[in-house]
Amino acid sequence: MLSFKRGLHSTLVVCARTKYTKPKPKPRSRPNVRPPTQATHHSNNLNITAPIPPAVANIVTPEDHPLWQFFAEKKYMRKFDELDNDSRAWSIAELRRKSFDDLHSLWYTCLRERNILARENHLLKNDMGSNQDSYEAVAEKIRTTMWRIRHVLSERDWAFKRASQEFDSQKAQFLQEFETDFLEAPAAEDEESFEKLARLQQSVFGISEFIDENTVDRAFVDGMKYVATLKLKRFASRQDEARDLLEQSDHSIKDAGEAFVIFTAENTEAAAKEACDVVKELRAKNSSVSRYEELETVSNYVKQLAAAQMEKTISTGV
Amino acid sequence: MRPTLASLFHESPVSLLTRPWKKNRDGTLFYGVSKSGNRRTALTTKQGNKTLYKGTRSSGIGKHTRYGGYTIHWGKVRTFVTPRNFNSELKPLVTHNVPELRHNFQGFQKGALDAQLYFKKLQDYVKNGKVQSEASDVKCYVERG
Amino acid sequence: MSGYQHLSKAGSRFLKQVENRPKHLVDHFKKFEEKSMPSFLVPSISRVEDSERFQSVREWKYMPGDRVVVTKGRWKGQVCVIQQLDKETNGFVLDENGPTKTVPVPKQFWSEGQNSHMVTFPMAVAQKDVKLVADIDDPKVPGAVKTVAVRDIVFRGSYYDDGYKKLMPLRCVSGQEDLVIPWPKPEAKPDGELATSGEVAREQTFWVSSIAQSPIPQGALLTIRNPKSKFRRGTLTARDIAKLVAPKMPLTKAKKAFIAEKEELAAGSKRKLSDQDKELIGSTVLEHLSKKL
Repeated sequence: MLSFKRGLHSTLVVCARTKYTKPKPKPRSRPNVRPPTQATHHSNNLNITAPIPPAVANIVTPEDHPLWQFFAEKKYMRKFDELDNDSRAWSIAELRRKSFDDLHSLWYTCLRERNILARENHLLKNDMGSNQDSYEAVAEKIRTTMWRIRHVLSERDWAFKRASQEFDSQKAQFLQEFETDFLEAPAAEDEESFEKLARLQQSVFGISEFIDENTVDRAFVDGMKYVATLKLKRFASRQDEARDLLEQSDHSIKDAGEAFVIFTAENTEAAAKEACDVVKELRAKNSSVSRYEELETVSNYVKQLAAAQMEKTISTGV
Repeated sequence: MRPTLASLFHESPVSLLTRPWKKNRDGTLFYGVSKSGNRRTALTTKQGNKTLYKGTRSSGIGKHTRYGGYTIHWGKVRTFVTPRNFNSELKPLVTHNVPELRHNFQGFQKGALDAQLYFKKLQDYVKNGKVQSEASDVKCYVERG
Repeated sequence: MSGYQHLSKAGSRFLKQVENRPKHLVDHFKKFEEKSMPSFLVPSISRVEDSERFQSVREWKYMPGDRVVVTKGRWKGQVCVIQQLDKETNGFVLDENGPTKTVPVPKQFWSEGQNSHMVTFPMAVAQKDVKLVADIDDPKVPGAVKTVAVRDIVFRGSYYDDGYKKLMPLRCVSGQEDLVIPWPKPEAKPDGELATSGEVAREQTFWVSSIAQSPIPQGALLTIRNPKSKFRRGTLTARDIAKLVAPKMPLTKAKKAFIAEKEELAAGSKRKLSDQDKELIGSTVLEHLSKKL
């Protein structure tokens, strides 16, 4: 231990390490020492090779170098007659018929081509001092395509917004028209009719055919009730059970539990009959879902059904 | 008799070459065209006073920490979303061998934004599903929008 | 020129000033240009401004493939076929029967296989110096055709042309509009490098399929439209309008009475002058006049 004699300017002298002071203890040996990540010339493994002369032949560019995306067919520059001067930009009407994914892909394709053209144009103007506008003319056509893509997407969105504002007043008529068509179709066209119904439930209520993709909200429950009623009406002309049930429930299913049973049943007469029996049992038991608990209950049902389906697919898959 | 012009005294090639009437401030000879220079170039990051911050529109994506580090806030980082299913068949232009398609909106006052048109299309979709329309034929040049 | 003009607009205002030549000097500049340019680069007819260039087929009137007759100059009377349109001069480049010029070309501009300094170029001809040549049915000899030059053409109506792949106007002879001269068939060219094929371009992949869900993802919308743009005007709510519009002042008693009277008058049946009344007026006037005169 050091003995401190406190005095003027004595601290430094006292703290200095001399041959009389005790040396520091050695650090403990560490069991897991990380090996050096980089081999340096300190490890004495430096190989001296012959100098590489700076020549173009010695530079190897990989085939898939990302900067190749700025070149057309790996050419330094395309000639004017190699450019595509005849083709025209996409018209708005043509773009209106393309899906979002297609438009998105087209946008990227355009962008890449414009990169190439901009590079070539820069070389032409800056390096060669020309004032030809051949590259710019093509790039301008592509730019037209690009603003049209944005225009079409914007237009699509506005059309949707306006239509959905007006749909509240038109919904009843829209559904009524569908219903008459749906119920008038002969029994032989059952499959097609139910495909139409599936499209309707997707487009108007946002209910996906795959049960686990859905989120349960007010629109889902309303749609489910509507679809269940329609299904019953469809089978009512052929089946007594369905007709009885429909008459008992005043021509529309109001209870969410009952609607769920009919909604999830298969689109066949036998399945419909089964569903009707289940509903009758439910009524006999006097079990109904309160309107205030509908969302919660139905979302539980959906979860259970999705889990059951999952189990089923796994068991059949294995 | 008229007096000799002053400029004619500088007739020797050497005097013309040196052009002593055009010199920079420090006395070196000036060979350029205009002494005033170009005042119309863009401001660089090195110009302006100490409060000028020009930036490169590339920063401001996070925060400096207390110890000189930097945490990136990924919400502020520019991201480019690439298409989910890339359709490489679509090229930036369309062949000149196909007429430019036009849409007409007869009977729909608001054109492409008309709500009634939207309902009509929706109705057709529910009825027929995904069916190719008339303009899928290459020869068609005008179609209901 | 710095070589960065295509990237930056710096100094473009100044350059625009330079390009705006005073009107009285235009001819002078043109002459100077012709003098200073090598003869093989000087066009035979003067170049036109960008704004005056022909855009549509209605302006061009004749298309490559049309037969025309030259009506002016050394080649007057020659019938040639239009090879191409010269967009710089609004002129037509004709085939080997048409006007040509032989000029010296420096060696650096020689094309492959060339072995002489002198090269023969076709000269462009202005639209006013050519007339369309067409074959029409001979009215004198039925069944035969005769070749005529058309003084002028007019455009009437339009039809879809399968060769040009667009709506083309019908080309009629001026003064005899039932005579339609068809457009020449354009040369077929294969698809370009950047061209989408017709089938792919026309394949429909979008259908209006939902009113419950937006057709485009919300994240994409931000890159298409700026919702906070300063140019985006808000909409006035009923509350805003109530605040901005001054209330109606209550009417004074006199005004109310006036309005009531007016209404009363309007409600009552319209009085008509009966024959008796007319008689009365007439007699009164007559009495008055007879007294005075």
